[in-house]
Amino acid sequence: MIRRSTTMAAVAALAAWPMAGATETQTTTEANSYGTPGGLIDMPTAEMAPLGQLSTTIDHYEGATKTTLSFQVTKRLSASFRYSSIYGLVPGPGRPPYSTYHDRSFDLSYRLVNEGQYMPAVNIGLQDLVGTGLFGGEYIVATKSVGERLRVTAGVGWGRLGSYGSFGSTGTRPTSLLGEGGVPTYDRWFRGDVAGFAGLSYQLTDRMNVSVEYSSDGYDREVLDGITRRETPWNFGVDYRVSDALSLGVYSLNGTKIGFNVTLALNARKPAVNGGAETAPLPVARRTPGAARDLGWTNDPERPATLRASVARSLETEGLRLHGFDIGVRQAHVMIRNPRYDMRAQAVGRTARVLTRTLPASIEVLTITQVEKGMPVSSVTLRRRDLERLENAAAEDILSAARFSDPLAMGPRPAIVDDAFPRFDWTIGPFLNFSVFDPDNPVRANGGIRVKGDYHIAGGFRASGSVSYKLFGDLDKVDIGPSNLPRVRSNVARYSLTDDPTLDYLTLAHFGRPAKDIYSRLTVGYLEKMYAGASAEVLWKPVDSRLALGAEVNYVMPRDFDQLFDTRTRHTGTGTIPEFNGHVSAYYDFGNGFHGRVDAGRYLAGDWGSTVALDREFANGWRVGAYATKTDVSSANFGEGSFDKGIRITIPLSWGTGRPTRTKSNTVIRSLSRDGGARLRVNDRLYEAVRSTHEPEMVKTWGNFWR
Amino acid sequence: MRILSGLAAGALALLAGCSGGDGNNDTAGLTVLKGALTPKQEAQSPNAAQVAAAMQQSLQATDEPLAFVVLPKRQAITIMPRIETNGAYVTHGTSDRRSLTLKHGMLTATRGFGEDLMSSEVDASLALVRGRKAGTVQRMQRYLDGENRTIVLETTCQITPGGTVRYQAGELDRPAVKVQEACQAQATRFTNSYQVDAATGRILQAQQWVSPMNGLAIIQQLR
Repeated sequence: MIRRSTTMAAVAALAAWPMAGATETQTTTEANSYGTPGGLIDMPTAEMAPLGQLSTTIDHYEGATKTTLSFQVTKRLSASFRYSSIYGLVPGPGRPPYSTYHDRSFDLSYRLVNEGQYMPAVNIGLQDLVGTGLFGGEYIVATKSVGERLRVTAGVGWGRLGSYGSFGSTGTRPTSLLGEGGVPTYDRWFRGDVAGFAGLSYQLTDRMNVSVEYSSDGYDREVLDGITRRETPWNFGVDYRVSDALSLGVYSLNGTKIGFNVTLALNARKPAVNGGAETAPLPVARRTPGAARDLGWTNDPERPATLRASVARSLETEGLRLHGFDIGVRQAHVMIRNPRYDMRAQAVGRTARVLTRTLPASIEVLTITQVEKGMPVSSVTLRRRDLERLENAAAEDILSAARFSDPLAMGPRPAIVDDAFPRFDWTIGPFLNFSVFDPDNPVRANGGIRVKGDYHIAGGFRASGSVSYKLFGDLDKVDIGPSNLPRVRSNVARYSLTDDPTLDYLTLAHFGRPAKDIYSRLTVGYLEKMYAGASAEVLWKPVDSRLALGAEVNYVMPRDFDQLFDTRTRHTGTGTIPEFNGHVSAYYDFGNGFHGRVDAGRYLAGDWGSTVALDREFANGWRVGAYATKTDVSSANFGEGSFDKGIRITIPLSWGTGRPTRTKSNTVIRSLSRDGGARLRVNDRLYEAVRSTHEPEMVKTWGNFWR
Repeated sequence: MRILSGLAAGALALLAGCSGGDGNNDTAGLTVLKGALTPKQEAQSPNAAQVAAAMQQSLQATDEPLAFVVLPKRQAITIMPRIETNGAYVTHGTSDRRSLTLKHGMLTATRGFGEDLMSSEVDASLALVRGRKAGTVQRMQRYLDGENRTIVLETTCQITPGGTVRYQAGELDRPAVKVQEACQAQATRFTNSYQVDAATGRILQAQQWVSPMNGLAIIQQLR
């Protein structure tokens, strides 16, 4: 019989998780009407969102709808991208108003001083700092908590934030546009009239927040154009937090309008389940003392084959695939494919435990080589004694006992298992392709069904194809005017016209390891939607290096608009599409959550230039970054936006489901596909596949080795 | 301008579709989503008679040591046979692959529970609890955080022996001493309690805090 513990009820309650960000002060999950973190209505505060917070705010008042994506890049830096639709703006004196004016804007806010006992938090910020500057304003603002519930904010603003009740000025603020828009409006920053603003926000309940502010935004342009009236500088608002992910707000603006907003938030550091909810690994099987001296198994010629089969079977239950296998008296070398674990240390850790349970006791040295795209990319060598000794110790202990190496430095490759080649992987599923926030329309999309397949022919050789069938969509309505360049991308709408199935790509590729630290790719065929041809890439990436260098050269032929098997002429109305393009690239992991990349070379239209990308990366695979491409095409020739730039967001599916999977969602928000600074979109570029198995990346989540 | 779908991970799983070959694990996402959409079935707590019957069955089915495990917060009750021994560490597991590791009956790790306790340093605590002695010790518990980085929870624990009880579970009927372990860190506070064999110092029952999501685990030895 069991005595059901009465102590169960007397269980001590437990408070917070140990690592609650002690160094983060003045944080909020609320957003103002501009979608930036803050508890006021239209005015900024010195609050920041929790690190890794990614929020989308849709704000509407009769006059404008603003959709803002805000990201807390570091504890001190917040960045926001906004797409606004303003109703009834007048382009110039005497001209008829736009029905809807679409505008993109970008904000930054930086925490200068963290809150102390008496010191308020102080931020400096730039609002709409790129381009037309319709919402342009700069500010320095301080926020201080008074007690648990009240926050008091006061600041000074320029530009829009200095347009009502100014008490002075710092020089004059220019109004002319730099370039074709799309470049920082540095000539205006902190210039012109200065005014003060202030506000209070009070937390009524756990979920509800009320606020009042004195606004220094005169809404001059909106009042002039008859969009709104402004009768008072006092605004009032109420926010309600439905859940961690969803907040709603309603406010009165200028005494004449009612506005409301919805904020949806995700946090890169708050997955569905910390550490994942997947099932347990098999534990290490410890050998009995002296067992290692027993070499009886070596007399059985059949033994290696039966061992290989049982290793393969055990790996299968862990979601891994045995690719190559080689054992000696004292050492074993296995090559694995890992279709399941996005945390590569987990794949290696589970393999190591399988080996302790299956291999004869005399085998002491275990080498596990990960294979990606048919290439051996990284080897981890472990001593079985260490696995036995350190299974219940900190993961860093087994890390210091593990050795990373280039598989090419590990001697002869293990024999490839029979069922490794040929093999066929396929997926069938729905797809959605979006074009968002273009100057005419907030969202366009195509959707349908897509079938993809990869036929792995032999070591490193692979045939791949994808066919899509569009069921609905309006991407054919995307209208991009020609530039003075060959039309390499701008006729995208014509590629969306067809209602028949399209061949997205059909390629034959070879992935190779020509030398230690060197990786190669050669792809021929229908490379992408718009181009056929050949693409060759080489990458230098030592297994322990945070730096990688690469080069790529492509020969392209434009494909026919129906995306079947024909190609079309390279002559377009505005020029000839060159045969060759290519880049040299440098990649660097700064190791503090930032990753940088520079590509320089010749782009599709024959323009020369470079792309710079900076990503904020989280160890769990989240990534939020921005890139910009500038080539020798002038701003005037490029068209609106002056040069190509964008924001990209990668969210690992495992973050949302709590199960290991290598599936990720990639979202890119960019200016329209114009012809300058355009690149070929060939599949399976080498860097990401190689990097994820290398030491600097794997040690970030090495704790997963024992998971 | 090609953008794969939106930000909600749920929507992503919908797009996962189905697949074959090496990639066939990705359908896991879809299954999880299904789970998220159907209301959670309240686990029917088995009554005492059912538990006793299951226990008898397990005792007859194996000669291995058995642990009866309850996670009140997760509404989980299970009987776990020993599946592996590594020195002083004993791992118990279920057929659906959840496991926990004990050192002399004290919980040091969990796997497959979600928000798992990855490993612990409990030697100082073990010495006092098994010796039924009072004292103050340091305890260290490791976890993976939201980014999959290792974090360490270090607590200071006050150990106090209490009264004697009769421990009856499975094949065991032993006089035992209650021992309490009250642990504290800056933002964390929890209390573990044990029932220790009065004669041998073996931990017969451990009631230990695992993590915020899992709450307490009650682990009773059945033989």
